[in-house]
Amino acid sequence: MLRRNSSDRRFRRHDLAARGQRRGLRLAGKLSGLLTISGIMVAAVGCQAPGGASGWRLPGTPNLPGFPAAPTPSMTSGGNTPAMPGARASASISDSISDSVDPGTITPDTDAIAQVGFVDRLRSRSNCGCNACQVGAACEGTLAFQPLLGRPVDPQEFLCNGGDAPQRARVLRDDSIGGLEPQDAIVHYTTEAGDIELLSSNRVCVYAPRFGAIRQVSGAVAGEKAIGLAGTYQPVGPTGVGLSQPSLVVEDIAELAHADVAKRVDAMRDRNRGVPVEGIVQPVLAEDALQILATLDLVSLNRLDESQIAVLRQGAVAAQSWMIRDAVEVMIESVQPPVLTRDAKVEAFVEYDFPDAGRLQIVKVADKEHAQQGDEITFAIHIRNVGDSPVHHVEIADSLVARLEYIEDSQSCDREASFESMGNSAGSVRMKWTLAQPLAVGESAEIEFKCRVR
Amino acid sequence: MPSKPKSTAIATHIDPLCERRNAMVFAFVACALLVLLGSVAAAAEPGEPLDTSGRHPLYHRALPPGAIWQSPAATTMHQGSFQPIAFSGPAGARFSLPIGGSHAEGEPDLMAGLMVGAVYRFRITGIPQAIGAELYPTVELIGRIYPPAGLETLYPIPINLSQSDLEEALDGNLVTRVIYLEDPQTATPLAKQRTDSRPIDIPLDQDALATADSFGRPVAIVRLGSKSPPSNPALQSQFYFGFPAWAPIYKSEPVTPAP
Repeated sequence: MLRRNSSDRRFRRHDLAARGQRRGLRLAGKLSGLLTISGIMVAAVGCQAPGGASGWRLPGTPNLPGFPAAPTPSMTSGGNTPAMPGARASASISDSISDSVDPGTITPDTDAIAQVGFVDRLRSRSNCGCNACQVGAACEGTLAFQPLLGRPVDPQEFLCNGGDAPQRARVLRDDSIGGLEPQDAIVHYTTEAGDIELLSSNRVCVYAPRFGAIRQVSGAVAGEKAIGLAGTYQPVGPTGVGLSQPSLVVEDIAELAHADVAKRVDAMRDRNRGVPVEGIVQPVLAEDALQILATLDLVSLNRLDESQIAVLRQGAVAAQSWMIRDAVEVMIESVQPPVLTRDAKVEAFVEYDFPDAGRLQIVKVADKEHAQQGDEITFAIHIRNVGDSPVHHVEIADSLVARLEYIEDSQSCDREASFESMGNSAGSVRMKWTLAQPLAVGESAEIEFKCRVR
Repeated sequence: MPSKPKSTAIATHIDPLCERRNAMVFAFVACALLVLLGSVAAAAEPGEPLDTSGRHPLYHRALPPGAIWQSPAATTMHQGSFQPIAFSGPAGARFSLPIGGSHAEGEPDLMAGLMVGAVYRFRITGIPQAIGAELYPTVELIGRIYPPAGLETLYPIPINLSQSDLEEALDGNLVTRVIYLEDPQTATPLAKQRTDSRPIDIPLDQDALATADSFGRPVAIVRLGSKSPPSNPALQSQFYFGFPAWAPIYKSEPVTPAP
């Protein structure tokens, strides 16, 4: 250590100028490399920052399932997508066309949803490359005149009823139906073999958007108490607020009449510098005999008592003699090992043809494809036994969404059935029909009821 | 048993000054890289949601009209297609949009096609219990709806103003209404007509856009507060936000008669 320190001093004394030059050159080289790396990293940060904001949605953009999770431009409708004929999204939609809907009237050309939001922007940003993080005119131009392909659809504008999504409906022990949520429509029946089957209907959607409003009244004086400005929140958007926008205030600006400004110390700078310490050589390697015992939990000195010798001997013997054969073994009696037979081949093939059990088909339709608030919609549920044997205890349950109000005594069934209705969790009605007679092969039942759009 | 710890130092024959200088430079580079990598990781962390804390993550009510659509996050503006809007208010109130620097005769159930993203200023006259008073609110469309073809005018976005809205505005307050498309899954089971003007009132510490966003999809913002246009003609264009184009809808589809 001493030798190195004296060497340092000698070196400084003799070659100070040359060292300064070399240090300058080397530092310049390192710093230039550092700046290059920094530039690359800053560019990377700048490009990644816009993409990092996920999980939010722009106001005005449709609330589509899967929208925040996978912002891809080629998004297809799903989930609560309304039943639009031709909108090929999922199997539950394609079969949910009401009979009265003319496929030629509201068929969208494609199922692509033109997003109002930032989805297309992300794609264009990636196409433009890293230099287009600040949106340039070229990118804007391609976006603004992007052709609108097909008719987009927002599921929130449709009033859908039927189906069972998510699939939670089930028949409980007491023959009641559990997991029937608002908008579900199901039928359950008992086959000849005694199996209880549950089937959900298709979804039928009616275009009926409803709007609400949020109101906020703000003023300078409220409750005879002046409201001062406690703080300002300036949201930092991707590029901020365009200052070229006209503001609400176009009147003359009232000047400040009087202002009390309190002055205080802004900052205090401490000029104490640290004392440089040089020439401290840390030990590179430290060996310690106690490290051998570091893995033991307890290291202590004890006096060996005479009575502990037996225990110690037992432990020593056990350490020597316990081997794998002394481990715990489990033996299961009367279980034979499986026998592997090779070269076995089929000698005969007998096919038993059992008659198919009874099977129902349930279809729900509406008589309108769009409805204003206050309009009446007639829903019909068709049930048909398309199986090979009759079914018993057929029960149809339909739970209405909040915006559908069941019109009292408007239901009818062309077969003898008992009808019950009760309120559901959405503030609407849950209806249940129980057919009095079994449904033979090929027979059908039709239920009609009316609802008013709220 | 206990042994004294031994410590040894291994010194190699390297130019000590050069070694220290290199160590300093490398330490500096390492620190800088750590800071940069840390910032990269923070910026690109996708699992971290933006801090909303009761506000909309991007927008705030303090934004001036038109500022939302200046954001680069809001694109694919449907310029060229007009979204039908239906105005309604208390009995006697009349609405009109500017035509050529002036206003036409007001209509009680004005319908017009407005462009998404533009800010329009309309005029309300015939306010009940306020003879001669006028209001010049703004309406800003931040979204549109997608009705089936041919039903556009049958299902406009309703802008229903109540008597209390107009009274508050005449009292000098700023009334902000955010109109949203209601999510049918979470809709209230109350019967409403299309011209129903009952709003959900929120206090000042809440954000209207964020609240509307939680109920559905915000489509329009109406701000009531201006009582008179500026007398200086040079300010007219600024007051009317550049007179954006709108399409008149002369014959509105009749509302389905009540049962």
